[in-house]
Amino acid sequence: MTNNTLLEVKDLRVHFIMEEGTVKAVEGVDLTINQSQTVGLVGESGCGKSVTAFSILQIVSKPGKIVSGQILLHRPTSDGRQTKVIDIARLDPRSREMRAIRGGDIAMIFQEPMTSLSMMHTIGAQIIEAITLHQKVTLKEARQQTIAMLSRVGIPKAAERVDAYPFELSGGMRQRAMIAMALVCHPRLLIADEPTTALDVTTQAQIMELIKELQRDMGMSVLLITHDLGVIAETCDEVLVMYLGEVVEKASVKSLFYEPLHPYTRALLRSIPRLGYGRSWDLEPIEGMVPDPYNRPPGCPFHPRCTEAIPGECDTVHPAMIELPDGRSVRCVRYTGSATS
Amino acid sequence: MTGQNETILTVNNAKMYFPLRAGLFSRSTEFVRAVDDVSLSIPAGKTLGLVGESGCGKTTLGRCIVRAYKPTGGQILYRTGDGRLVDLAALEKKDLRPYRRELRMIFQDPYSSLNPRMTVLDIVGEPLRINKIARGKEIEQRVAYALERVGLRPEYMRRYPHAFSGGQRQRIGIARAIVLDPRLIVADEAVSALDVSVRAQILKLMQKLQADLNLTYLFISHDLSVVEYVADRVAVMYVGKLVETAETGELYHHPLHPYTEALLSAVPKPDPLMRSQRILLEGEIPDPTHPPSGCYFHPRCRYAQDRCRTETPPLREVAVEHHVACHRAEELSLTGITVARS
Repeated sequence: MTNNTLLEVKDLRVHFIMEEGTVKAVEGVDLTINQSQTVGLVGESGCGKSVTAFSILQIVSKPGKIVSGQILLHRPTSDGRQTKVIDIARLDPRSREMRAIRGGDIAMIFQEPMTSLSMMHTIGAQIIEAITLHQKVTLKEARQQTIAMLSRVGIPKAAERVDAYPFELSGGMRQRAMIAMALVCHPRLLIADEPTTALDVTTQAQIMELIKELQRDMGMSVLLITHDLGVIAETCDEVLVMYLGEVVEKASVKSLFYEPLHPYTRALLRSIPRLGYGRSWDLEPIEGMVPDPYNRPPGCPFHPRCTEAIPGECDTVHPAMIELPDGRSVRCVRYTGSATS
Repeated sequence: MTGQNETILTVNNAKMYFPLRAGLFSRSTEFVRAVDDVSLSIPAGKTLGLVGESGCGKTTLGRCIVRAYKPTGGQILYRTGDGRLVDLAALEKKDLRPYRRELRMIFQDPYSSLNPRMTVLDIVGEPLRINKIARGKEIEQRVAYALERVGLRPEYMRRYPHAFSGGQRQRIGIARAIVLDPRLIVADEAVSALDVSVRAQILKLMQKLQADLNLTYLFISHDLSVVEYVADRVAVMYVGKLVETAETGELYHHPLHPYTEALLSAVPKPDPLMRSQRILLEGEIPDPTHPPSGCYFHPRCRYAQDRCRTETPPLREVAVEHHVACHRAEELSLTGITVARS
């Protein structure tokens, strides 16, 4: 493992135990994020991408529970010469240590800014609170930092807007205020869960450029969760494709788009319209739908919708993750022969 | 039967102003100009895509066309099956009934647009009952037929919406729209809430229904890649006005309005080698109560000149069948979508 690793998730399993049965929302996810890297987590609703992100911050809502696995945060010691490894999965969600990680080492932004903003307080008061939780500064200094951060994220007249309530801001401005709150303590990892899905394309472009710019300036890593393959292509270095709680393919962004391996990845790429091609790019929908999470199909979870499924094999044997010589991995029996030994 | 290239709908100078009221008894002096002097037409059997950012008035325009709203001004000329021209904007509610069957709407959210207490049979059959078209067993037969058409098993008609996935619910919404044999369907963000794999299924279904039933679509969406795939022509809307209309390929490859250019460049492209230099639009969509002077787009336009600040450009035909509302359309050379040929 290289020593610029920031976060390693190993064999993470998160289950929701309910009366109707157990939903295995995350079922054995491995994920590594290096410093300054942007990793994309892509998949359709119910694939477990958001639950994976929530686990990293220990904010999975009940009855969800991390049942096994490790979430290793590599944090440099105060002299910066060594790194200390903390297993987040073993921390109490309410512990002081966990709260120091949330917002301090790792921050998160959401699709809906009101998930993290309170409507009862001014945006300034909320950001100042975030600063004073993590840093020993006076209120006056915290307010100055807040105004600086608000103008950094492109909110005009930040010195006035700092005293505005969220409802007084437009959707795009609220998104910016939320980003300011997430970034004000200079986290080393930003988790962005569908950060632009609710926004118009022009605002989406502004916000994505802003995240990229802040990432360059602050050297942070980004875990980007989205269902939008366009956003993935424009921003990520590495991509993980998830289906029904499992990572089915991991590759660099170029390999994923130019040489997708897993039948699900290939089917996803064939089912989206391509700008500039119009109807000459024929859409091929994936038949059927994402299975009911209470009844996971036996064998490979994708086999009922897979056009390349091998009867007698894919419907019985659960495929292992296969590491390929070029550093990619894919969870499909078709690649068994090409694994690195 | 309508002929091939006959226009089924012509909208002339449609206006929809919503009054802003300060208090209970105060007279309204200000108006939100949600739709402001829009003209367009759709040939029978074709699809017109209507794009723009949220708040631009595209949904309001769609609702005026199906007469969910009575427009404040202008004409909505609909050509009936037997060739008559009717101005829907002028009709009173009771006189609209025969046309309500022929102009239907599909909504975005398959979760909130279906009544959770009604079975699929009731939901899809309700328009038949209300319009007194069928009764009893016949309703069931027609519902079963509509469900089959949209790819759902008729055996499921006694189930409630919660038993269906998002994609299936959208199919139910489409079945409800086609059960009355409509001629024009206004699809308002019909696939925006769906996952990509299901979205492709629904788009394919809508294309098939269009071919089989000779439907005409007004396809309203903020998603420019989806619109490029479904539409024959596209109209771009900005703060209540159309700024550009053209045949789809022409609009995407040779946009003539700076707003269209910016919209196209902002779309994230699923190709890591096309990480483009985006044109970042500064600022936000203006408030339609107090739109800017001159061209509404001038505060955000990187090509704006003095004239743009004072004079409102009309929508005019600059190339064949290509209309644009920009003073500088002839002199600017804007960038459209380029496709790397491999």
